[in-house]
Amino acid sequence: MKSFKACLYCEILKLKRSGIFWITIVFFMVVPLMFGLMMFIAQKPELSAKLGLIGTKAKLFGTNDWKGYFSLLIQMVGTIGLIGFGFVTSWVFGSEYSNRTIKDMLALPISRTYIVIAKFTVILFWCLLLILILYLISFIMGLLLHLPGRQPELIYEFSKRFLNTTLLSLLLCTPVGFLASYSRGIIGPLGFVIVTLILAQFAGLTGLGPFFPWAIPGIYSVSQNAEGLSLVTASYFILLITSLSGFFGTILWWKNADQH
Amino acid sequence: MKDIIVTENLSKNYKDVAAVKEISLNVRKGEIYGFLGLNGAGKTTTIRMLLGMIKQSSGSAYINGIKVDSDNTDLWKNIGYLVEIPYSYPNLTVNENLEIVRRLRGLQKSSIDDIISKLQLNEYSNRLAKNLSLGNGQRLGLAKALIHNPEILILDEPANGLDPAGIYEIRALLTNMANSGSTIFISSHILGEISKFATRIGIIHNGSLIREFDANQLEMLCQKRLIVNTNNQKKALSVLVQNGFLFRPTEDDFLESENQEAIKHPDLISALLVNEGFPPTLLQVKEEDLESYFLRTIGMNGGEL
Repeated sequence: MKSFKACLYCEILKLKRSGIFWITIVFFMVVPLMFGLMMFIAQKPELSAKLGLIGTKAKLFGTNDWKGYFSLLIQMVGTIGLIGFGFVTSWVFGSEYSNRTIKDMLALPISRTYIVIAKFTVILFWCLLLILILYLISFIMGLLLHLPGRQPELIYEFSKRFLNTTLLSLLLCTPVGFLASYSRGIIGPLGFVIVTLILAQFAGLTGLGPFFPWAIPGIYSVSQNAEGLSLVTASYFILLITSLSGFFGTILWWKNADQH
Repeated sequence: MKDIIVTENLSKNYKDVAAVKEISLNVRKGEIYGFLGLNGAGKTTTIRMLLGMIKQSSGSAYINGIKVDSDNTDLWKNIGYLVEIPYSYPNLTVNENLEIVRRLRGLQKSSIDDIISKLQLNEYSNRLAKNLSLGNGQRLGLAKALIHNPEILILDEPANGLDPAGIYEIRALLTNMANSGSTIFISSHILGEISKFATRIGIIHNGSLIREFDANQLEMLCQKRLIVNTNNQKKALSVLVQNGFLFRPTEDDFLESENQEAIKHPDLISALLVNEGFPPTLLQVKEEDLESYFLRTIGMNGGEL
């Protein structure tokens, strides 16, 4: 436990001193502000007509109330989560290779397994912090916009689905950690995240979405409103197996692969 | 003396390429083992295998009698290492980089101050690693390797980027450590430097350990030649040969001999030439250094004196 704490301390120190940490925080603050702005535009039809493309996009909200706003926020988490969490994971693992500091972590009186688990722990808390920021700012924006239809049941349902979508997206961080270690850098896993997003869209269109891990959080986020697009029990198993494979694959890679 | 580092037929293949071929070496307690080889000879691959960073294709390596295995975390407690150019976390200060190593090695807080003053990094302790010069970056790498006063040090090119004063300091530091019982395995391409403090030397070429000897044997192994110059080389050569000393003219018009008697007693040659009326204007025993010996051993022309 002492060894794990030491690893965790080191990962937090590296994170605190990195510019990336603050950049992601700003990004996750700006995104809900933009959504709030679009909601504001959607509320004002006269502005919407003047603003062309932004106005057209703003109309996509559907109803200009808390229900419509929440529904869009949940869909956003499905996508922003995959990209944001993928980026965070790529950085935590990939920067050890791009900074060439990985060799300092390989012959220490501390198990490499602890180092990998500490990295995933930091990723978990970093991502949860980002999501919390996103949630709070989105909520504050909704309050400032005086959206109609705020009911406790609606907020509870939204918060539950928001959290669940986040957790499902978080499960997909582990394969990214493995790829960052396998490709020894940041670019490879980021490319992987983009490809999986494209494939997830394709899988959704062809009806294979519930069986494609990277489409599952997105389907979960919209499945209440989309006909014929719902997850089955196997979907959760597929997601879990993918996550566990990524987790143990990363540990095995760190322990057994040749580290140059 | 106890063997601290031992390899038995250690080999590493990458597909069809044999990077290291059946290396068997042993480093005894308190020794400074200089591991010499050209770039790509297999030095770093061997060092990485010793540190469990890459797995050998065959053979085995032992440190302190324990088989090297990345899972055996206890093994690394008493080992300090530096592989190739040391890199540190660029956005962390010197202090913070050392704090990371201290935590991961479970050391006392005072170990940071001790190593900072030992490696004279005091004025840089709050500087970000990315703003350090190459030499100070190297010092930080060495500080990370030495922070726990290891009994065994495995260093790959530790003098890279250091200025002459820095090289001298590191040499003194490593010599002191070896005198206190630490065992040091050091690879370098700065052969003159290695010859100044290594107690044992191994030469690796094309993945094979082609020579291994004690440093005090170097003088015996290195070739010596007597170089002579006179105002009449042709006649002087004739006199020397007639008196049983085998000399030959060199390309730059000197006379040279590998005759042991001549090398041991240049005064005899001098007296002979003076008596025959060809007093020497130059009489010099040229001794091969480690660099020349190394190049001759691996079959490169630079090995000639």
